[in-house]
Amino acid sequence: MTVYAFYLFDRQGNCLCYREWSRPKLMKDATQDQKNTFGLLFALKNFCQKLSPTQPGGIVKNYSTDVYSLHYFESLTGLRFVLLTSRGSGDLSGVLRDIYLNVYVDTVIRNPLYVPGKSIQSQLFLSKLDSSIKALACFQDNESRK
Amino acid sequence: MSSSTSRSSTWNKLGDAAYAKSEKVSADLVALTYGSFVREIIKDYEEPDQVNKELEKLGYNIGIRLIEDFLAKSGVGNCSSFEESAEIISRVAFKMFLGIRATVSNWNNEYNSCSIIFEENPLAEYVELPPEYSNALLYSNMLCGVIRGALEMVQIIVECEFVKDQLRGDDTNEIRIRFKEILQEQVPWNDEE
Repeated sequence: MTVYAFYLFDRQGNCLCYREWSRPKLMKDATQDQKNTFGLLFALKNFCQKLSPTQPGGIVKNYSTDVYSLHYFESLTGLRFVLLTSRGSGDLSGVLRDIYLNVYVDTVIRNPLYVPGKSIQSQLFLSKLDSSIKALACFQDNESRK
Repeated sequence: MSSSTSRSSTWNKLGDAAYAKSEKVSADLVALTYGSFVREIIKDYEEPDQVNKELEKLGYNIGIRLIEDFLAKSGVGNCSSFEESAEIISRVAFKMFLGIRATVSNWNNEYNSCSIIFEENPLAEYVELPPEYSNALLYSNMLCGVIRGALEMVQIIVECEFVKDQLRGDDTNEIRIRFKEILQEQVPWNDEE
């Protein structure tokens, strides 16, 4: 079990952060990949709300294929957190929520040099994100799988 | 009515809990820092109207970030109505960030305009306005900008202004909030891409 990648989008579709820990398939174009992912999230959310049997619509937490799972968390302000993992890691949308509350708010929002809408350069954010993800039970270093 | 009073007390408790959890800074420090801040802006802009606008703009820039901090630390979820939003701003947010209890009142008939009333204003501690500014300057106008910016990040557009200010001689502080619209989710990309 492993964690492949992490995306963070704002409301306008800008990718504020993209991290990968092991992505076996080579991606040709990072920007296109990010746009596709954002488009997917947007459509997924709309679909889920339309198909929901109860009125408020419900929120997407994760979806799984036979190869990977995508975990999703959206804040009330429209920030979208995405985690791609292999199967079997359970539901990590709560982990994404914790990353929002503890890592993002403290290191990005409170950083006076951060401009909303630009990609996150803060080393503190990236290192805290790395340590939160590596602390997950389902994370195995790429090396140990080989 | 009883359900709304029980909800009010829930929000009061949320506000108190969030206030207890947050790290505190000295109120004097806040008052003096804000005061020198306003002095600088007056030096730059001079006209009270310009100063008011600038304070509101600065408040807006604070508000768009503050909302995330607020949502994270207070744990409030979606609001079902503008009434709820106003109550949460006054009972939870004011308590959490300023340490004061504010109340909502003076709803208009369509329930899209209300007043937030608060007796103490920690920003205006020790402040006396000189006569040339005492009528025109809205000293704490930054608060209006914060409210506007924070609500805009959750898709609610409002207009906010001070109608009563203790520094001007009124008996209490009152901010009038007018609900304008809710922003719908927009497709953020161009069609040709």
